[in-house]
Parts: sequence; C-alpha cells; structure tokens
Amino acid sequence: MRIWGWLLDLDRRWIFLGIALAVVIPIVTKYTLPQGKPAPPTVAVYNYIEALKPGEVVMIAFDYSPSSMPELHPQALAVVRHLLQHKLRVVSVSLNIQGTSLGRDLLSQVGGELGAVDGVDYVHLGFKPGGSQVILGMGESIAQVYPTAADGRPIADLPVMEGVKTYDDVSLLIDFAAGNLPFAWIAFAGERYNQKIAAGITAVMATDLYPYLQSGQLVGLINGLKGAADYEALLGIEPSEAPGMLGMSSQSIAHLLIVVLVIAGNIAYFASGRHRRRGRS
Amino acid sequence: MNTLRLGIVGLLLLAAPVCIAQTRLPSSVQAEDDPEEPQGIQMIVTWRPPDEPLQVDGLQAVGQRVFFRKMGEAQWRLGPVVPLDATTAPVGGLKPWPWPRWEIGVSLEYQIPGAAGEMLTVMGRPSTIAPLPEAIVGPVRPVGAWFKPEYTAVLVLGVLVCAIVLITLYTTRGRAEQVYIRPIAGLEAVNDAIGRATEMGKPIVYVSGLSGIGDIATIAAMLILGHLSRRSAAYETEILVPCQDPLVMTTEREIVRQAYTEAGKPDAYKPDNIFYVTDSQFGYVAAVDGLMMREKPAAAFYMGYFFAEALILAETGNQTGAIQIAGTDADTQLPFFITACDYTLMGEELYAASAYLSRQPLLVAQLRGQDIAKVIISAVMIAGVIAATYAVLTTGAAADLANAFVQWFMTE
Amino acid sequence: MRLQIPLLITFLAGVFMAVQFFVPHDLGVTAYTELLNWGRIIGAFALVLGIHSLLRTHLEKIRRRRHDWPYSMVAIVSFVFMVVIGIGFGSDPGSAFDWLFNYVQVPLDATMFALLAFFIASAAFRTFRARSTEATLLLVAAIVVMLGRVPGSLLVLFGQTGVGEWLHSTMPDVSEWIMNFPSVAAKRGIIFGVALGSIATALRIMLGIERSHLGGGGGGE
Repeated sequence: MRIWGWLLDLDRRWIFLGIALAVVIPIVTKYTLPQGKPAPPTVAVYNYIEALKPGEVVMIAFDYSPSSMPELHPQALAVVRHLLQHKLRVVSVSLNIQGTSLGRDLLSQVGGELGAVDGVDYVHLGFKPGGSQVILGMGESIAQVYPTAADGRPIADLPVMEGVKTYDDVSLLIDFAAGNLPFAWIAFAGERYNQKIAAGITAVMATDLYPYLQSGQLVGLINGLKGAADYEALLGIEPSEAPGMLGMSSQSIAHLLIVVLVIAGNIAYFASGRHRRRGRS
Repeated sequence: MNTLRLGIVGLLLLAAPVCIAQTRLPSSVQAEDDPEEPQGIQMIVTWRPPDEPLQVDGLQAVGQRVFFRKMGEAQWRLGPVVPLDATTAPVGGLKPWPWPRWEIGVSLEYQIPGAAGEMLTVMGRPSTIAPLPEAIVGPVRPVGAWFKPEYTAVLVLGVLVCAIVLITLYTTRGRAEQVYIRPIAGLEAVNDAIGRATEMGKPIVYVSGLSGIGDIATIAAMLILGHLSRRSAAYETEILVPCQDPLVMTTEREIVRQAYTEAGKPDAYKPDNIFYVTDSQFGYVAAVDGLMMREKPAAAFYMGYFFAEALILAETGNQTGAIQIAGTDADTQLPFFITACDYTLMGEELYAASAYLSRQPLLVAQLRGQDIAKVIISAVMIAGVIAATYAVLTTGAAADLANAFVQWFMTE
Repeated sequence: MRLQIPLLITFLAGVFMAVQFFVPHDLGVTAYTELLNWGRIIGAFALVLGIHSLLRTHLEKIRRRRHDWPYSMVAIVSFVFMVVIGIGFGSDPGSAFDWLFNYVQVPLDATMFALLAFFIASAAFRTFRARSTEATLLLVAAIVVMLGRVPGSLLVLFGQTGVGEWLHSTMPDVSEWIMNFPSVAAKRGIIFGVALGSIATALRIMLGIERSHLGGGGGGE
C-alpha cells in the first residue's frame, strides 16, 4: 500500500511536468481531435451576425491583454473573419490599453487576408482611458469620444464611419475581455442605450456571464477556447488552420490528465485509509 | 471655386423674394421636445419642404440640412441631412443645461455633381447655405425627464432595503451584544494568524484585491486591513501591503497609520511597507509571488475582488507554508481560494467582517438589518416564482393580477 | 472638523450617485460624467504617488544592499527604459516601444497566466476529495463540466466505440445544463447576498457608522 502514500505525497513538480507534456505534445505534433457540437451561446452569436445585413456596423471591443490572448485571440480572429466575410463594417475600440495593439494587429491581419480596406471596411479607433465613461460617452457621440482613429485619421473622413454617430447606428457590440469590462458594457451601453451586446470571454469567467445570457442582456457568449473552436467550426475553417481547434487538442489532453489525476488522488485517498484520519472536509 | 459658388448662392438668396424662398426653400419650421428621449437633449423638428428646390448653377441640391445654434451664437452647428421631400427630423446634441435657448433652422444641402459624398467646404469648414430667417424657429428648449419610470421597482425595493437596515439599526443598537452572529471560521482565525506571525517574527502579507478603489469589495478589504493592523500594531508585527492601484495605496497608508496611532504605536508605522507595484495584472502577481517566496510570510490575507490571479497567489502562499485567509465576492475565484487557502470568507461574509471583528454595536445592528432585508427579498422572490408559474398555468383575473405583479419588477 | 467634512462629502457624493441612477435628465448625466472626470484626474495624481512609492522602495533596497537588491536594479532600469522609449520615440506600430510590448510584455504576461494551468492541476489533485456527499456531488459535476468542455478527450479515453461516441455527443449538453441551471442558481444566491452586503456597506460608510478608513474610532475596537 506504499504506492498510495507515494501517490498522495507526489511532488507537485511531477504534475507540472505532466501538464507541460500534455499541452506541448499536441501543439508540436499538430494533433487534432474531433469537435463536439458547438455550444448554443456561441451559435447564438454566429446566428445573430448571420442575420445582419451587409453594410451594418458591428463594434468590437478588444478589452484583453496579452495574458489572455491564448483564449481570446482565436475567438476574435474567427469573429472578425466572419464579420468581414459577411461584408459588415467593423469599428473597433479598446478600453484596455494593452488590447489596442492586439486589436490593431488582428484587424490588419484578417483585413489583409480577406482583401478588406482599412478605413472603408474596418477601422481601429484605439484606446481611451476611463472605462465606463468612454462607454457612456459613445452613447452620446462616438465622434466626441473618438474624433480620430488610432492612427490619427479624422473619423469624419472615413467611409466606414459614415452615418455612425452613436450606439443607435451600431447593430451589435462584441466585447472580448478577461476582466470585468463586459459588465460595464452591459450596464452602460446595454442598459442605458439599449445596445445589443455579445461577449467573448475566458472560460473561468463563464459562470459570471451566464445569468446575463439568460436574462437576454447578452445576445450570445463565446466561452473560452472551446468557444473559439466552435466558432471556427461554424465558419468551416480547416482544423489545421484554426488556432482555436489546435489549442483545444492541448486543452482536451490536459483536462483529461487532470480528471485522471483527481480520480487517482481519490482512489489513493480512500485506499490509503487517510480519509479516516481526517474527518473535516 | 467653391467659395465663389457659395457666394453666388448667398447673393441669390439675399436677392430672392420671400415668396420664392417659401416655395423653393424649406419653411414653416417648428420644433417640439422628443418625448421618447428622456435625457432632454433632442427635439423633433418639422417643416414644409420646398415644392421645387432652388437650383444653383454648377451645384446639385441633394437634401435638406437641419442647423442649430445657441441663441446669440453667430455660427450654426450642423444637424442631420435628410431627403429633399422629408418633413421632419430629430435634432440631438441640444444640451438643456445650463439652460440655454436654442434656434433651429432648415436649409438645402448642395453638392458638386459627380463628387458625391464630398462635402463642399468654404474656408476649411463644411458648409451649405445657412437657413433664411423664415426657416428658423427659436428660442426653443428640449425637456428632460427627472425619473426613469422603468426603475420604479428598483427604487421601491432599494428604499425598502435601506429603510429596513436603518430601522433595525435604530431599534437594535442598544442591545447589539445580544445579537447572535454565526461564527465565521476565517475571521476567528485572524488572531491565530497574527499570533503565529508574532511568534515566528515574520511579516503578514495583505493583498486587497485587484479591482480598484471604486469597488465595494476593495473598500471592505480596506476596512478589514484597518482592524488587522490595529491588532498587529499592538504586537509590532509587520504587515506588507503590495498595491495594484495607487489610490488604494494612498488610502491604505492612511488607514494603517491611523491604526498604529490608535494602538499607541505611531513610531512603529512604516509607510514603505504599503507600496505600489504595478497596475499590470500579472506583473503584480509576479511581484507578490516573488515577495512571498523571499519573505516567507507567516500569514497571507487575500481580501477583495480577484480575477484569474487568485489561484496563482494562493498556491504560491501555500508553497511557502503561510497560514492563508481569503475573502472575496468574486464567485468564480471562490473555488480556487477554498482549495488553496486555510479559510475563505465567501461573498457577503467579506462585508460582514468589519462588524464581526469590531463587534461595534452599530455595525452589528446593521448586520441584523441586512439579514432581515434578505429574508424579505427572498419572500418576494418566492412570491414572484409562484405568481409567474400561476400566470402561465391559468387564465382569468387572478392570473392577470399575478402577471402584473411579475411585470412590475421588469426593469426594461 | 477634520472628520465631519470628509463625512459630509462622502454622504453627499453617495446620495448624488444613488439619485442620478434614477434620473435620465442631462443634468444628472453631465454631473455624473463630471464626477467621473474628477476621479480620473485624482487617479492621475495618485499615479505620481504610486511611481514615487515604487522608486523609493527599490532605491532604498539598492542603497541598503538588501537581500536580492539586483532585482530592484532590474525593476528601476526597466521602468526608466520604457518611459524614455515610450515618451521619446512614441508607441506607434513598428516602434521600439511596440516591439518591447509585443516581444517582452506579451510573453511575460502569458507566462504568468499559464502558471494557472499547472497550479489548477496540482491544487485539484491535492484537495479535490470525495470526503462527503456534497463534496462528491461537486467532484462529479466538475468532471462532467470539464469533459463536456473538451468532448474530443472522451474519444481518446473510450476510443471510437459506441460509449465513446455517445458520451462525445451528450456530455457537452449535460455540461451546458450544469452551467445553465445549478451553477446559475448558486451564482444568483451569491449575487443577492453580495448586492445586499454592498448596499449595507455603502449605507454605513455614507452615514459615517463605519469610519475606520477615516480614523476616529467608528468601527474600532
């Protein structure tokens, strides 16, 4: 029975090594796993965008920082691709200073691939400090908050901004965020100005946002890397070309390893008799 | 060239008899408050459009432009452009405060044919012809609303909760010591943690969340810090407070300084122990983790609102062997704290901590008021669920009443 | 007076914020925006205090040659370097600041966040035990949600068998159900408690019942 004791006292560094291998091997070998059916909240975002007419305006908020890129960047890539393919006008902002360059690079990457023109099909307005105040300000006048795009071009000169004055002219707002900014968008743009909002969030935040989904304050929710992979699948992107699906392989194996570890830990716990020594849970 | 063309337009207009202006330019302008817009910055303008728009050589009339300006201003501001046959348009941006009076006018919008979308500019400003006196209304002012009727339920319930808390406060404060407060293990352990730090001669690390000074959780965390530092000051145990927000840092310095003064140890207070690190989430985590690995604190407190960094902080603290007490209303992070910390205050326990630690009569009384409010709100919720279910399952006057009860709580 | 004036300001600001929530009039919106502006300005000044604190802490450490003082040197040099590069040469795409952001800050941040995966695994292994009925329920729900989020892993576990295929197609639905109902129910319970706690905390600060943040004994022991 020494093995159970050994397992329970296993040095955590072995677990770290196991997780590292579970993450790295699928990425290196480009191992892909079949996707399950897409989650309904992700499908809701997809369907909402599909129902928009070409030329309508979708505002994207790149409110995430590099630390949450692995989960949120694939989501944003897939959604922006969908918007531009669907000939919708994309106007992006950032309330997180670190998100502004991520958004700018993403737009020019996807825009370049799809032949979309900066200033005509999409524009990145950049970062403004102030959080909720920026959100409220755009309800009154987007041009007052953002007189120029991130690169200094006056927005009045940009065809993509034609007729876009306030949230009334924006058909959907999608916030990609890892912090509490989705709540600010819901409270200020959604509640005060009736802006339709969807969110792309890290998986750990999902339980926070589900109540808003049920209440209809969010039209849809893209949840973690799984959400990104689901969205890529909905767009019909090849798994080997889809960062979300590739990442999902690593995540699947790592999840599996954690489940196996938890089960093994429990077997060892009961088999070693330690549960009798410790009554408190 | 544009200047010349507009000059011609201006001269034509000045020369035009009023009767021509009335039929070839917009006229009979009227404005009234937009009842759909509660902020009071928008009016609905109506007018008579031109029967046959005034033709100007080399230019094409493409629409009608609404203008507005404050009374006394020389320069018109540009409102919306609408089609040539439009008779009404909303005009926004008419700030009603500090109570200015506005003039609103309507005129024609011209473009150079073939250069669609290009605004005619004069002296660098977008321009069309200004409205004639016959096509101006003013002084007018939009009317804002002073209450959002859709928030009536929120107001009523908010006032009810405040009233319950205040009435309980008033009636209970004299016998607050008789009020039973459920033992909260995490707060019972605070003294043990300070004692352990004192015995080991090691510091306490206190993290007050990452959500900034505007969050009530941060304020609760700062209040707990006050109690904690008052006790640790008595034993001269060091508290290290790395901060992620400079405003929080400034306030916490003041709180700890005050606590040391009240404990009679003003000289033991070291402002440098409460220091700013960075506002970058993971930069902050790296710094706090490093601090804990180096200092090996006897106790670590995580109070306030946390994001993904919760487990990274708590696991590192766990590795260093510190006794760890966490408290957060971030329910997504609660499982991580429960896993890695010795004690965890969940949700509102964080707010109750101040009353619990001080046992000050007013605070304890307020806690009781909060509980009574919770019971009443729970009862209303159960009534709502029953009413909504009844309204769906049956019809008739009672079902309508039940439905009205549920609808009353709908905010939007 | 030292206590009364801050208490009065707190009370008035608190009442105003509560009232403006119900007032759609532009007067309320303008005043609210103005107050937020003040907050930003005060925040900007506080940042100066923060930077002062940062520099002072590290310079003091270097001056006294305290344990691990070279790291403080790294912190100060990095700080000054980024300020000089950012202000001196701008932060446009392609600039040195942009490069440092993309190739230093991004990987460093991602590395710290990635630690979470390792810590979650080790913490789950160490503490997730079926010690009681409630703990067992939580354990089963957690496993279902985890596998439901990565249905592909079930095919790895069970192969392309009937069981594997069945679990692959149903587990996401069960996971979604757990997220949508039991999880949201618990979440709402916590939200109600937190909301009431927030109101009560706000009330006692506004009314000056809790004033340990101002000193002066209220709420003291």
